[in-house]
Amino acid sequence: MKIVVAIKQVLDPRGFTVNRKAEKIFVNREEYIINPPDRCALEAALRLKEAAGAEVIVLAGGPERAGDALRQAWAMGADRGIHLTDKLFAGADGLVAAKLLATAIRKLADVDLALTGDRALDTGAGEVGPRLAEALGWPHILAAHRVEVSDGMVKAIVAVGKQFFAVQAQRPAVVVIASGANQPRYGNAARVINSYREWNPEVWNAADLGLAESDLKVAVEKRGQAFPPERQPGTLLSSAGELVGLLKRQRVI
Amino acid sequence: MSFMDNMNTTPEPRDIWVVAEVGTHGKPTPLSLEIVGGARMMADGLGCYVHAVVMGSGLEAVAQELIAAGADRVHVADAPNLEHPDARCKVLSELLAAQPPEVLLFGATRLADELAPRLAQRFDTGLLAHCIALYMDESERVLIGTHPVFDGEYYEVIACPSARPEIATVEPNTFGPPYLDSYRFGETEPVAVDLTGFASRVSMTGPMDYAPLGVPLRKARRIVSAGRQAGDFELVMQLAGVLEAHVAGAREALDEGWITEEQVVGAMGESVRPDLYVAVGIRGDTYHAFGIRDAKFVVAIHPEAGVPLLKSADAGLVGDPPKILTELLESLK
Amino acid sequence: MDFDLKPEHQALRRFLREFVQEEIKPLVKQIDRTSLVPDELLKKAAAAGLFGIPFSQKYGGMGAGEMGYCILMEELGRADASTTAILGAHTGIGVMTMYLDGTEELKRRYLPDLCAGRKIAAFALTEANAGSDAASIRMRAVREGDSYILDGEKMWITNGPVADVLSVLAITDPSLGARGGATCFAVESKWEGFSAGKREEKMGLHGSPTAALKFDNLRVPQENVIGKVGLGFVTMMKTLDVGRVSLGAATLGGAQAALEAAMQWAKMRVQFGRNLANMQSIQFMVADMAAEIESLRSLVYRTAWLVDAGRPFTKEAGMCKLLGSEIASRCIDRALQIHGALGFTRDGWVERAWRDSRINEIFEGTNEIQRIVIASELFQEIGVRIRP
Repeated sequence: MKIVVAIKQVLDPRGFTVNRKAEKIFVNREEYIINPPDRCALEAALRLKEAAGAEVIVLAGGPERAGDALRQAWAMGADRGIHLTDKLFAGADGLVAAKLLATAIRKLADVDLALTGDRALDTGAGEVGPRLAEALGWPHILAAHRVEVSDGMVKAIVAVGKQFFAVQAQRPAVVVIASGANQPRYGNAARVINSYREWNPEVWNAADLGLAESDLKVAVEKRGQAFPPERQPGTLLSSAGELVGLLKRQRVI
Repeated sequence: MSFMDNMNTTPEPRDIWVVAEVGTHGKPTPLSLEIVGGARMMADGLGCYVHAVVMGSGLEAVAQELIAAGADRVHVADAPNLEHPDARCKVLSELLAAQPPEVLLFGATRLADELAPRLAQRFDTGLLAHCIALYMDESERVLIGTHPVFDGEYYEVIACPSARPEIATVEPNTFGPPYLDSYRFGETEPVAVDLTGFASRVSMTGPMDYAPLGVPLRKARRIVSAGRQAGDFELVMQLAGVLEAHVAGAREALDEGWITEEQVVGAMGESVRPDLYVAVGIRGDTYHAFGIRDAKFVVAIHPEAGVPLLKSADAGLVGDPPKILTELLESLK
Repeated sequence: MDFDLKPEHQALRRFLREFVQEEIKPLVKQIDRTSLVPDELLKKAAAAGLFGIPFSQKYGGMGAGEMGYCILMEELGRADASTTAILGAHTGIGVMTMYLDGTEELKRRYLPDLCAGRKIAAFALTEANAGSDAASIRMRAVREGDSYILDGEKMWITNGPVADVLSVLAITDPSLGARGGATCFAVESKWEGFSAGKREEKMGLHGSPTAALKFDNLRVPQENVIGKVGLGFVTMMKTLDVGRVSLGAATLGGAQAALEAAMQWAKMRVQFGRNLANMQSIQFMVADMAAEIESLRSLVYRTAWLVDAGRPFTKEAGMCKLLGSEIASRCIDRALQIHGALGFTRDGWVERAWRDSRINEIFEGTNEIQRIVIASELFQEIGVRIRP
């Protein structure tokens, strides 16, 4: 069975602080990590590999440093890591990312499952999983907590609100793994060392994927940043209702 | 012929469409009405129409409120086998392919999580997801959305300048309550649903029992914490249940026998970093404050007005904690 | 000169930091209170490869070298001294003796299990009458056919009660004594004649099992000799040498954690209308701590580099242990002072660290011995031989 896991590198949020008053982001330590929800997706794939036997192939787009993410994925136990990188991929939005991943998955051929995390920390969108499914013409499953495969199907326990449901989809399918569905493994120290000594990710560029600039037109552009309202310590309210209103307005609940 | 009939035969993207959802009692959800209201404001600025789409079954009474909130035309797809997201996806994409929108809005719901990205990919367009602010820049005629990143550390402002439709999913309290005008005129149009030969590739059964992976206190996103003046610990636990929060306490809650050592928050217990920390009856001396120094939003409820935690909390309520908690539980229903 | 760690070591640090902070740090209070590092935790650590970090992959090790091992010890030192002691005694001196001087055959026999954490190692040199004066050990190993019969007692052995394999020094030629007449053996605790005494109840390092060991006419096959017969003392000293570097790394971690904790408290604690961070007395303490830690950091990692580069490192290793233990003690003590009464309560973090750190100036060669080692190396460089 072939399982693809799409991962993304994001800036480590523990390395920056936000000053709401100055409307500035101070990066104290610029480090990049595997998007934590994607680690849950990789963990789910590795568990399927242990349970049912599979080849786990990790795909990551991004600049050169994305290679570190792939090495970490390999150290966790992935079988292959492929770096999708090209000048033309820079600034890819969800639309282009899904096209890239779909093209790579078609190139890999005979892929049974594509697993993704439920959102990227740096966009919060949660769109790539279903977009990828649409681009491939596959069904998708959202918010999967536990995943199993059997006779051409993929089964998952899925969260809808506070409840859980049993979902079944025909393979090939995209499964979006819920954050916190599992505790991702650390890997093994020898593989961590070897991921830099004897292993290299495969590199695919636009030409390898048969994609031209016209295929990679981005739809969404960034216009700027905005900041949550400054904290007002010592704010006193007069009723529970007022508190609930404030919590909703501040999007705390 | 309806006054709104489209004379064009080649579909140009136009109008603002809203995918509305139906809650209990067969009525549109408050979020859907809010978004229709927001769409109405945008449409008035642009001089175009608002369409609402509803899918499901038993939808006889649904159009009225949507029209009152601002929809000019409500498309109703009422059929028994429209529960599955992919059936809805099929119906919706066929409808929108025939009448391509300029703007397509969803409430940021589970249904939107299923449908919006697939539709965006199908229409080769962008998605502004989980917007907490959204407006139409009339000079550019482009939708500008603001959405949280890094779990709300800050926000990004994004737009989809050329691809159409511009699709956005919108969080509650972005547009504010809609202005409901029961005299407003609008049309209802049934959508022909033909799912013969369509077999959903995904099936769902349940609900079922499942215990998800537990989260330790130090990683909890929400915490309700009790102190000496909490009064009724039962209420504290109830509030935690409603907010889907962990239960914790200041050191004295351990002395009171309400919590275990592992649940103590403070310099002599755990340091926590939740999005929401509700401190019930906690004075908030340095030892406790140390444990919540990284909390994002602190609510303090205490009978005495001068306690330290009320001076540093993001929101404070002075009064009898059990009474306040009872009112809080009521407001959260 | 590139002061950055190589990418694989940077990745190793991230990997280890995450493991230690997620799996070990939350258990620290419990480990101290129950005097036990849970088996569950040791199993997870073994699966992650923590029991064989420096050793070559051809023996089942992780292949990270002394540099990687120092990174492990620093990360562990930031969290829990008891776990550090277990892994340190196992890797840094227990297995290391076999790794440095064992035959190929011996290594292939024992290292895979030890590196995988399936078996635990210990280093048994010290006796009741032989601490700093290690050469005055009395344990005997008498040749009998194709084996040796070991008889004697060891004392203060870390991991002693739980070890599966021990590197043991015994006198094979009493006429020569330890220098020239001692031999190192790999002894399995399951062999007839081995027993561990009661676990010592110590001031700190509660989770690290330490005990006296009895070897009662215990038969050891000659294949289990480590290094050369008669030259066991050299083998043991060589092992202790390299073990010092990683102890320096562990104390570095402990000092760093103390500094960070003190700063967090200084940020929050308000007295006289301002936080401690705004008081010069506290600022000076923090600055001194940070300066010492920075210097220790450079020393430890440069020494690790010397080890991996195959260059002489005895003098620097002694300095690592000497400075590391003293700097850690000073930093943790200052952190305690900055925390005030909170530093004194067992519900806080500092109190345990303070108790745990005291032994650093004593074991692995007392700081007095370190000074002698350093002085010997220095004088040797100008032609003066110092008798120990």
